[in-house]
Amino acid sequence: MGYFKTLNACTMRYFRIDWRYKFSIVTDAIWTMVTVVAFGTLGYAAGQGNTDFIKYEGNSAFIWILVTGIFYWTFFSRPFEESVLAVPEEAARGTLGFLVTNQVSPATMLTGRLISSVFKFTIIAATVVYPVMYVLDLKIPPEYLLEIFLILLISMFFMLALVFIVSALTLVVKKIGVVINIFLHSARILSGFYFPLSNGKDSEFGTAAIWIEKYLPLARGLVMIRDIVIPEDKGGGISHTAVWEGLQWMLIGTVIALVFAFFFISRITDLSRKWGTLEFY
Amino acid sequence: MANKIVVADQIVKEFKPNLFMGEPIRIIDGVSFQLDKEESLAIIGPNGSGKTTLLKILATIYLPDSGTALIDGYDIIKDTKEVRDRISLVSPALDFQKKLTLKETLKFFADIQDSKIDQAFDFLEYMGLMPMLDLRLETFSEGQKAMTRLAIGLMKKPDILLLDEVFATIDFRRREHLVKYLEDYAKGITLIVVDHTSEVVDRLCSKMLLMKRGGSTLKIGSVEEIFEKSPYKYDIIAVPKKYMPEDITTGFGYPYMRLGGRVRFFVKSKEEADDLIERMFEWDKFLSFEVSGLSMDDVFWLSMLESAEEEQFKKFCTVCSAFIPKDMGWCLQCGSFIE
Repeated sequence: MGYFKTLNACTMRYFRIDWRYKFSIVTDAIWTMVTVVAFGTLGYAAGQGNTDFIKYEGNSAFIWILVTGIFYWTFFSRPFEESVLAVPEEAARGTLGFLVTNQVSPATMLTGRLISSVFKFTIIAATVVYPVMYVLDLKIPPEYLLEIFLILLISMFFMLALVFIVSALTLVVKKIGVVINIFLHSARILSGFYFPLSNGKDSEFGTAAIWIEKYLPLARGLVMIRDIVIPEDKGGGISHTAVWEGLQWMLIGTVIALVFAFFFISRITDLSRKWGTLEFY
Repeated sequence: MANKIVVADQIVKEFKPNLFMGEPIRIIDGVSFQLDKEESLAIIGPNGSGKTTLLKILATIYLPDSGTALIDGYDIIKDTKEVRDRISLVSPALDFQKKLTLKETLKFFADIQDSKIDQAFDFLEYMGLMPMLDLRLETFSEGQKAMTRLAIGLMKKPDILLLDEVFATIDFRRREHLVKYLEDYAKGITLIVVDHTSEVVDRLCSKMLLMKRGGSTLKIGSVEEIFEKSPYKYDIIAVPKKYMPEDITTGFGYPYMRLGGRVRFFVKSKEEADDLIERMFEWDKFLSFEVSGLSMDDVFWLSMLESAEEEQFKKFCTVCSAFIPKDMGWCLQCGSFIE
């Protein structure tokens, strides 16, 4: 009887805790929705034998699309997670307030964290993912090295904007783990990680899909990387001119996102100083 | 105003239990004080009186809801950059990356503070921590971590050093060493210290701010002034061989309070102290007794009598109706014994 009493007490305690974090309940629901959209679409396409949806332009294998996406996202997935968790970690360690009093803004701290993380995962991508691509005949042509570097660099700054926005939320709302996943998963879907967005151009969301692929820096970046590494006769291939034009759009989108994100995190930092949530975790 | 290094004016801070609902709780309620250059302030009060929150407001971590403060003429709300250049907060909440060595940690903080690591070495040398430079912080004791926090705070060479209970985890021998260091170090700067330790406050601070639960000011003034205003000058802590009955305790004729098995008497003069000691010898049932000057805790405790808001001071004198601590057998106001 004692065991069940304790069990009941524990259950009720966690129930109350969960209920107090209402924002977390909402984010759990959104996370589930995002997962349903991502894998539901993939499952539907595979189940219907509708390879049109998951193939690349031409006739490349689905594994090529996925592996190239994995290569691209290796630079950003974990760095995004590590960077966004930096704020709660520093708050838990008591260093966040100390850093703030020493002119180190959360934005500066996050930039440092992301750069360090991207560096680490660049090595991981080069040593773990690229050999797999090489075996699958997905190679980076040497004449495109500079363009690839710039695509990854601009994409990193776009991710920094996302890091600022999500981290700003962590300054005022706690238990943010699911929000991180929602942003990351949504960014993957919108970048065309699971299936190329252009494959949906004939659907009712066609206009939006084409617009996102053109103007969202992450989507444009991934499309260009795929076009560079997938052989021309298998649906890839892109000219230097097209890459440079794409880089310009990526740059414009990234600058807009960064300016918005910087003002957002600066404003939220001030609010968290007012509300007293800056050092909570 | 020109010589004032800190001018705090009617600072109010409230926190809401939930961001979107619930009544705000007032943590600091209209606190004001001023400090001249090289003056140092001790902030004293019970848990929940807003001492640490006040330090964090001065350190620009929190924004006040109303009121403001000037640090060396700069507004803590509008001129945060200038204020941050001049202050350094040492807080027990500051923890470290345990996998980094002491030297790596100091190097990081020196870089972000735009200070030189050598400035921390002087302090570490003095405190005997230099041999630990290349050790990871995961091997450090709480006392050694407290020294590391101080080294970081001192390294910045601030005009105003904010110390939040930094002596709590430091052992007695090192505490004396540290107070001596800070006595010399503080000559050119202003200290604002949250601490209850008498030797720390007596030796490092020239002013005291006594705060009540709820964050309002109970008393502010120079340490000497507050001590002088107290009619009691000494306390005598007696350790009886067994429980001292009320009639015996009150029979000595001096105000007292019980501290577990011990009894602390308050006397106004050396003559009263001699008289009490002589009568305790006559009773002859003591293991020991110890005479000391009033400590900061005593002054705070006696000052609390005036506020009469604390739960522990709910007893009333049956003669003059003054508030009395419930474990005290003597009215400080009129001198009557209370059952």
